[in-house]
Amino acid sequence: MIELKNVSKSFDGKKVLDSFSAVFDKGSYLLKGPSGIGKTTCIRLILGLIEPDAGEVNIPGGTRFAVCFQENRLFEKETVLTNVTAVNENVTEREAVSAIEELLPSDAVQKKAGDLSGGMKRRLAVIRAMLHDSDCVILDEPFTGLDDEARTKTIAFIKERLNGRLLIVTSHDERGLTDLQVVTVE
Amino acid sequence: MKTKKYIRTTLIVLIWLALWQVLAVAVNNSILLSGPIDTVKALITLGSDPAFYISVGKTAGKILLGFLIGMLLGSILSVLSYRFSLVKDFLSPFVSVIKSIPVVSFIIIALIWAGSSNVTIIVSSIISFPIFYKNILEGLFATDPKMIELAKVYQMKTSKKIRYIYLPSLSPHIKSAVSLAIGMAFRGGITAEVVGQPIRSIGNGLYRAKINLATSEMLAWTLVAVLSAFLIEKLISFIVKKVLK
Repeated sequence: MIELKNVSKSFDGKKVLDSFSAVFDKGSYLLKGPSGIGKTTCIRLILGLIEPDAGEVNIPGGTRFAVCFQENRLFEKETVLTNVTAVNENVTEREAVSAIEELLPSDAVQKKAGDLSGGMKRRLAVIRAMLHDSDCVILDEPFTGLDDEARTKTIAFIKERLNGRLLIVTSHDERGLTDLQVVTVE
Repeated sequence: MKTKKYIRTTLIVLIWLALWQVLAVAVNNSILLSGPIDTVKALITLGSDPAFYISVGKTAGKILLGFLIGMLLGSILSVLSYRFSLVKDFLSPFVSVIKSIPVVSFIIIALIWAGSSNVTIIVSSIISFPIFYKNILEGLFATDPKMIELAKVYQMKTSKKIRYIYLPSLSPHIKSAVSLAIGMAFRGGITAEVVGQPIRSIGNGLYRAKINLATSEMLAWTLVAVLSAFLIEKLISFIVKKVLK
């Protein structure tokens, strides 16, 4: 169970989170709230990339995360396949190719990540996260730049590959995510 | 397109050679200025002596060794400086001093400490070290912090972090350091030989040409130095490119 307890965080004197609390137990969660409200800050706190100014972030020891950041953060000069395998040592090349082909055209496997379109890069970042051996998957605005068809396929891919792990998704758009438990950041 | 570029470069070089020859004819004094034709003749004469190749090989080998030592030291210390700010602060005045000390001062100190046979290696390594140190440190600090976060969350192995995150960021910095350092190491290394006079060396050849007022021979040795630096730079750049690919 991941818990944020009365967490506050400011950047350059501007309070982004003010005594915010949330609990993420087993299941899938949609972290909701208007743009700039602090959803990404919540995620960065959970990942241990920043410390809260006040309050507690309780993460069980040894929790392994997989994440799709708001920016794609791909190895732009490497192939699509390498982008997946470089951070997923337990995944065989065959498994990686099969997962890639579910969301991207098959000729994309050996393409350089930097040569992909914005939507394809986004899907690659999702594939990389979903294949990672982890206890908790965090997807920060994973559907940015995707058309309706790609969005539907990506949601199906995420659900199919979740395998009982804790999922935390942030998204402005709730379409296809109504079965997720909602946590509102305000 | 490429052929056009070669033709253009060749023409430019030929025009410079022609200007050099015209100037030499105008001066009409082979001690003051020897033309390209006389220089090539002197080079052919030098090339007929096996000792010439030993001199070139020894000088190039020593400079290359010094360059590699400088590169290794610069790389290791820049990584330590990136990792530990104390190391960076500690080395900062040392690197600044090394960069501003005249090369000839190093040459004299190296001659006193290590004798003429090792002066080339020491001087070329001292010249190369700060270039690599500064460039690699800059490259490390320019590494995208977002990618470092990614590596942290995904618990990437050090070897993979180096391969996929640090090397792409360091690559342009390493390439520019190689190109700059090899030229500087050759200039410094040969200056050290002219001062230190190790037997069988390009510097020694230059010095002997100078005392004999054999300008064409001096220019021939200079040409050899320039060509050696050029070839070694190309070789190392090729290796670096392959490794960083």
